[in-house]
Amino acid sequence: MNFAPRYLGRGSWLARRDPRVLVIAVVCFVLAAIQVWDLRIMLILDLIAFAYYRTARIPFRQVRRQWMLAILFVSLLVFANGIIASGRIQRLPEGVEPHIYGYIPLLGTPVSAESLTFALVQFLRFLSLIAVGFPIAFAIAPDVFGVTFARLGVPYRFAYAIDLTWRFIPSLAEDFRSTIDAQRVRGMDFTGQSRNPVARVRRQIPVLVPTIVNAIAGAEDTIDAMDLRGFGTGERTWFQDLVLDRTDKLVLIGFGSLLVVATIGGLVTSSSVLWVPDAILPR
Amino acid sequence: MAEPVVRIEGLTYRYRRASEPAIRDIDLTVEAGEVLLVAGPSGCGKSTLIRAINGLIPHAYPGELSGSVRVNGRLTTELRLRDLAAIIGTVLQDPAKQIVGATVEAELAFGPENLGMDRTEIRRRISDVAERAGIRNLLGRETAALSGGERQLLAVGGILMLEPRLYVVDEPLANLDPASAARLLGILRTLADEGHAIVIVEHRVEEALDLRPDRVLYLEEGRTRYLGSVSGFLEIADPDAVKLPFDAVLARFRSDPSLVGTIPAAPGHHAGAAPPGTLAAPGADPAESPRLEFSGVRAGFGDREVLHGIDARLGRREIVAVLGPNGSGKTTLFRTAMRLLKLTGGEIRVDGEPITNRTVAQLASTFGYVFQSPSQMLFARTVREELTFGPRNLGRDPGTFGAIVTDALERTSLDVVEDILDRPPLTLSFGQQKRLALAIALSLEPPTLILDEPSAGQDHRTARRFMREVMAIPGLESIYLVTHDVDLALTHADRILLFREGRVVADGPPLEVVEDTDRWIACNLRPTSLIRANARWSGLNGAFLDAETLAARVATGTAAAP
Repeated sequence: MNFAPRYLGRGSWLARRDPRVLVIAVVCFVLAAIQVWDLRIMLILDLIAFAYYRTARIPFRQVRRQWMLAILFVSLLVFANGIIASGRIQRLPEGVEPHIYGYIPLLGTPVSAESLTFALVQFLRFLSLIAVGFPIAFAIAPDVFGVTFARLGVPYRFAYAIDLTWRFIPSLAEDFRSTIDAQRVRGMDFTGQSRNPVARVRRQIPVLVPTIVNAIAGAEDTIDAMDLRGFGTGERTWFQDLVLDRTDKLVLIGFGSLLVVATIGGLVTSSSVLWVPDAILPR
Repeated sequence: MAEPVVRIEGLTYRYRRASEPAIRDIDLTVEAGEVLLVAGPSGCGKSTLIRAINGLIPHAYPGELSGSVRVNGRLTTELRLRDLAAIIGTVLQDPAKQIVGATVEAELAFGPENLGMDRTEIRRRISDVAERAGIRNLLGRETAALSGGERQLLAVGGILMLEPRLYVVDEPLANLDPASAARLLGILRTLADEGHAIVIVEHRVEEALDLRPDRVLYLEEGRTRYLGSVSGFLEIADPDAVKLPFDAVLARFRSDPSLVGTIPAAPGHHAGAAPPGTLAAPGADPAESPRLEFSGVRAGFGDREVLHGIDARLGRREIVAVLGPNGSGKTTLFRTAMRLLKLTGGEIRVDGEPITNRTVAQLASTFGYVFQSPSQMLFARTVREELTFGPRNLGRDPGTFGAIVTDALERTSLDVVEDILDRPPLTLSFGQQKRLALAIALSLEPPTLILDEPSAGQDHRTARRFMREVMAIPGLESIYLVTHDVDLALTHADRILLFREGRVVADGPPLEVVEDTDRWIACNLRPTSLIRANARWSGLNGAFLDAETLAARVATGTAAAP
């Protein structure tokens, strides 16, 4: 049964890059994006992020579910943030008062042009981060995760743990699925889940317990196998050779420049201040 | 004289939390170029001996050790695991747990990387090993997508990369179809011929003999019961405890006529001494509608089709074994019938009704499905809770639970285990867990059992006992089983469905199906000594007999003439 990690971007322009580029690009992009509160610039960052994402050529139908979940999560986060902040808005230009449309019933949270813009910027920022981050999961070959992080200075035991995670996620998924099947033939019904989260977790016990017990039992063999091949006993080499080519360097320069521009722009321009389109201000 | 690769003197070892030593007073040497076969029933200390040789004991398993283990003349206690890894290569029983690389190349490179080997040298070795292990076609593939047989060969490849002097191989044949097993044994034989030492632990002795071991170490209860030549071992080994070639079994019966009276009641229900019950008088009645009928069935995983148009009828009162190579669709067939996998074409009918009219839970009332590993399903705090889980799911009357539990325990002989109802399932022995899995299936009172690899994880004796108990369960109408164990299938089934690449290539009584040797071998199956013996003495019109029954008949002159 094939539960291999989904290297969906295999062969794409981005997958041909040195995998360190994909990691550094995310770091640069995140640091740049968190400084931007101007909606117009955030839209540009989204354009850059999605253009970058397209170069990974990840088939949408195979990641549709992940995108749906990510968008749902981000929407909830932005909404909850708006509620928790009670209408307070960061990064407002000095002296500007919010233009309030009204108040959320019961909660009394004010809804203003500024709070909506604030939420929209946050939403677009998270979306751009996901677009830049997804290629790490889908466009890096599963066997180079360890060496990628090791070459970025992460101690090799931790770096190899990343490799191992990628290796054993499919096995865990396979065990999980087998256990579900084993309980289904005992009449367990996985449809009609309760809305009570505690009840939902309790219902999963017949699946979770065997999966976890087997994973722990299997880990002993894996540790033995690693010990027996000398893991963790001294200096280690990496079979995979990572070399930055000219294109890799250009991509890194591009993302590095983005970070520099965002940082300087934040200091000398209003890019780090919330910009509200005139069109949505109440007349 | 050169120092042996391994020298063990007076070795006794007790695990930290155990009350008794796992092995006692072991003395052993293994020379370069020698193949040592280690055999014995489950729990005899084989795994502990392996750990003592490869250095996991005492480096990774603290406990009480006396005596000494020397590898290349040096005490393992004085060597680091890193040093031992360069001398001893160990292949563990379950390759799925041993393989840590996400791709084949990453897996092969893992050991040399840990020893700090140069990248160019690693590449050279990958190329050599891929050729040597016959896995060049696997290069570039992700390990999660490999079949069981491919994983086993890759696990061996990962060890070959380290070019050790000694290879320690733990039950390598357990997950392999016979042809893959033969390929693996061929690799090990070549290594021995080149001067490497091999220690192979295997209770499938008949197949392991293809490796032409120089000596056999037979362990029982942690002690050396026998250490010497293969011929000497075949003279003393208990055929019930380890699987021996038929000629060895026959020789034992001829030399000791008293053995004839010790044959268990019915290793196969064909043997003429079957236990009472519906299964005692089986046989497909052509006029009777089948229990399970496959018509042009297609199914698989995602885009990958595994079953390519299966047509088969499985009777209400018969025992059917499905045989075939790894990945040929044997398990997929029954998982599709249970609606655990989606049917992509054709139709499956149960008792004349399409399976689409029933839920998985409803199908479970007809088919008790026993998975390969009991640990895949055990979760409850007590055996009682475990056994009432199914009936509760199906909405049975709680007032009947007591009777259901008692009945299931009695039918699987678990009722004799002390305080069984209140025992946590995971504290039972593996054999008891297997029987509990059977009891769980029976708690839904199905007329038919589906057994997926019933002998997996069990030694010869416990696997045979398990099958004997299954065949003796009262009230069962039919059993369908999927197995790699050719002799087990042939001796227990009325009918064999032979699978190859998702298609049925033969369907008939055991002796008829094995008659076509070319087809048998093309399905990666092994022509065992028992097949040859049955063909020789029983004749095509006879039943397929297990080794002891046939040997007894031959020894007493009651078998059909050759």
